[in-house]
Amino acid sequence: MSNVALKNSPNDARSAFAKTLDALSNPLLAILLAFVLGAVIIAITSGNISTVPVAYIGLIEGAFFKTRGLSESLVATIPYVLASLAVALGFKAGLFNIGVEGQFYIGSLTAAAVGAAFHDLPALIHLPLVLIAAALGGAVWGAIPGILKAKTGAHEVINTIMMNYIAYRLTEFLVSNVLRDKASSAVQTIRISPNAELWNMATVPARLTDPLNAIFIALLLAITTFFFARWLVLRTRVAARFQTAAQKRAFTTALTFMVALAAFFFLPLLTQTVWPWTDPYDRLHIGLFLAPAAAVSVAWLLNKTTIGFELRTVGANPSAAQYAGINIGKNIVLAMALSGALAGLAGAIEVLGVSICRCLPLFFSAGYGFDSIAIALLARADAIGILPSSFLFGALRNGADLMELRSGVSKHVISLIQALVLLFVAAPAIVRYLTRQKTKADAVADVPLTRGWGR
Amino acid sequence: MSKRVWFVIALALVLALVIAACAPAAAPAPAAAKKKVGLVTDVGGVNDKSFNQSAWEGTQKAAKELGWDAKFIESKQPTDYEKNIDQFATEKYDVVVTVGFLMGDATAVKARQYKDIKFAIVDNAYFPTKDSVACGDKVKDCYADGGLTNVTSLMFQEDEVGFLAGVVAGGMTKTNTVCSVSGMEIPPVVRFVVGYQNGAKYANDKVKTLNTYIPSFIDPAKGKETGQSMIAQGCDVVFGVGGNTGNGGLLAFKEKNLIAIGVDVDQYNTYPEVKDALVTSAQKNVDTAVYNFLKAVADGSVKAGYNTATLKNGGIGLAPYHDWDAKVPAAVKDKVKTATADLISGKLATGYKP
Repeated sequence: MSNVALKNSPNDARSAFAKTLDALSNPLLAILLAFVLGAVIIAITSGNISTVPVAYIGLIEGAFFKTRGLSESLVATIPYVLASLAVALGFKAGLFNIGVEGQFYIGSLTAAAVGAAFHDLPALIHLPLVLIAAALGGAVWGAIPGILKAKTGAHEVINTIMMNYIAYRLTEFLVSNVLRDKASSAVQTIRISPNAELWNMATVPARLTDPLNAIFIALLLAITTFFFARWLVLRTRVAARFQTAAQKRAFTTALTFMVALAAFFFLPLLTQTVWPWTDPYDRLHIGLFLAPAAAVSVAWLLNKTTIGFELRTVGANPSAAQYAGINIGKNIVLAMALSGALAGLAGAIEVLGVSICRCLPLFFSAGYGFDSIAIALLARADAIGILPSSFLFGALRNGADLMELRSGVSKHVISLIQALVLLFVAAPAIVRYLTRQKTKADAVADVPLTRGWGR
Repeated sequence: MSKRVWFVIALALVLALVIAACAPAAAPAPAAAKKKVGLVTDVGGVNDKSFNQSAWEGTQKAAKELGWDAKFIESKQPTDYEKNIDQFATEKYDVVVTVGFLMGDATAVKARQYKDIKFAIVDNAYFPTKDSVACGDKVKDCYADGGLTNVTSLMFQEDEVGFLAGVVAGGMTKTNTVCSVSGMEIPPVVRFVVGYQNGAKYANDKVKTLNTYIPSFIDPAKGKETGQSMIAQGCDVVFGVGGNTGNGGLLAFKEKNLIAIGVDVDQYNTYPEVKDALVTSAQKNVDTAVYNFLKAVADGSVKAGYNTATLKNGGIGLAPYHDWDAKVPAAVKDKVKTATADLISGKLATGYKP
């Protein structure tokens, strides 16, 4: 698997690097091959080989270099990260959650409802509340197929797909009736409270002038620092510098408090003077920090905790897991609930940070939940690997418009390239053959991503 | 092994660079920079056989006559609207046309951002509304003092032409039940439906009307299903008011050899699969409206505000009966003519209240 780098001991840095390269070489080659084939298709369909550079330059410029291009790519990447983490977490537990799209809808529905339910709560309380509610909504939606599988053996693929349709129709019904904003002639929910919004990057300096918001950010940073410091004193070479556990605790506490205080007093000031995001029309929001945080949390959960170990064991070999005394049913439900929670968060983020009405209109998502399956596969279900693969898909999705505009090549070519990437990743033998690599004996022993029918 | 792999990757990157370098150097600026017009469609897409398509046809026609460049971008989801408009703006387009009521907020926000670009939006007019992103209630007129000085709204009096469609339906029904398969419950759709139902009652006082709003413009399967359930309830004339969703309704009636009425464009031409069942279409000439707007931009006579296409100014109307010409009774045709005249003169009201 591609997380080999994580497993290596730090003193073997060189070989870890080489192994990372090895792990990366297949997906990178897959991407490259897909683009080469994409070029051939563009050349053939347009009947003109000079369309290829125009199209690809448009693609790259649109995705990275044009005004707000990179921002828009990131805006598309953020929901992809969370949604594909949801898929990946399912894969790790041997479950194929195709219900991410439905859980996404339930998350956005919950976020829209809870976001509009209160109007006087400070962001400090409201924003976490909305996110937790959305995660819970998604978790419930994911847990139902999980419970069905655990209790009756009903396959999650079928049940999650069916739950998708229930989610679509439920959303349509609630948006056009119960939650509908009667004052607007559009079919959409009531605008959420400004305190429930995920802050737009450009508004961060203004937001931080409110002391309550400054406390909020200071708290978040303190929590992050706490975990970082613990990791530092327990898992890295820094540990050798401390003699006793009490010293380590003191260091962690001191660092946490220092960061919290510094953030509270200086961050508002700092953002007033230097802040890279000043364009008020830039749509990038603070979900930018949330997405990688979620990826790291999922990686930590899966690889460093007992819960994660149990989930992975159930995924890799349920019989062995059962023999070892792991409760399979509980873990299936847990995996589906966690997966649903991540998908729900993805939906919430789109409502709280991107939707222009800061509300939920109809037809909110064009398949984030389904694209995310491809992204999770491309990343081989590795939580950290999902960050670059999501960015690739986000950038392609965003750059496609300028490509189409400049070259007249239909943006559906991008879906084609994505499909090719996936094909090559799913069938590494093709890539190995094309690049004349020898198949390594251990390379074949990949863990299956999900298990087949039955139990 | 990895050495060879990396060699391949490096080689490919070099190749890519070479190709990029050979690319025609940044398209030589044409003499006296051609004006550029961009069209952003709603999620229905440019081939929706309905109003997105019509708007694109109008754009192309005007662009061809004026010697402008015309391009479109299709929106995949509501969060794309802003991004797509921005795409044209950053590519230095001079005129942007956005199609559909749902794009109202995004168009307003972008119009304020890009004062130098002329915007037209189909189906959405701006009125001061409390807490609205597009135009808050602090202003008197959204266009004049609300900052939308570069926006023209292309509106249609859908209830009038819907009324005429209703007159035809009321006259043609044998079961005294007429129905409509509608898209999302937004003002332009509601105007069509209300006009249609009142028109049917005007033509036939025994008539029963059925209607279902389906919260989508891109769901022909749901439209067809709804159409079939309406047939089961005894309806024999359907009005499809909802892009591709409505098209599904038309198809259901065509398959049972019943009567269908199209919407937005003359669907006899755009949706030939149902032409045998299609007695007429309630046309709103989005193409003409967009065309006229672009011409006005070209000669500098364009004004901010909203233009409403009515029966009176010919911006809306019933499509020809085509194959049904002989089958529509003269009495029905006369009734349509009277209703048209009375609606124009103001003797008759459609009964639509905003």
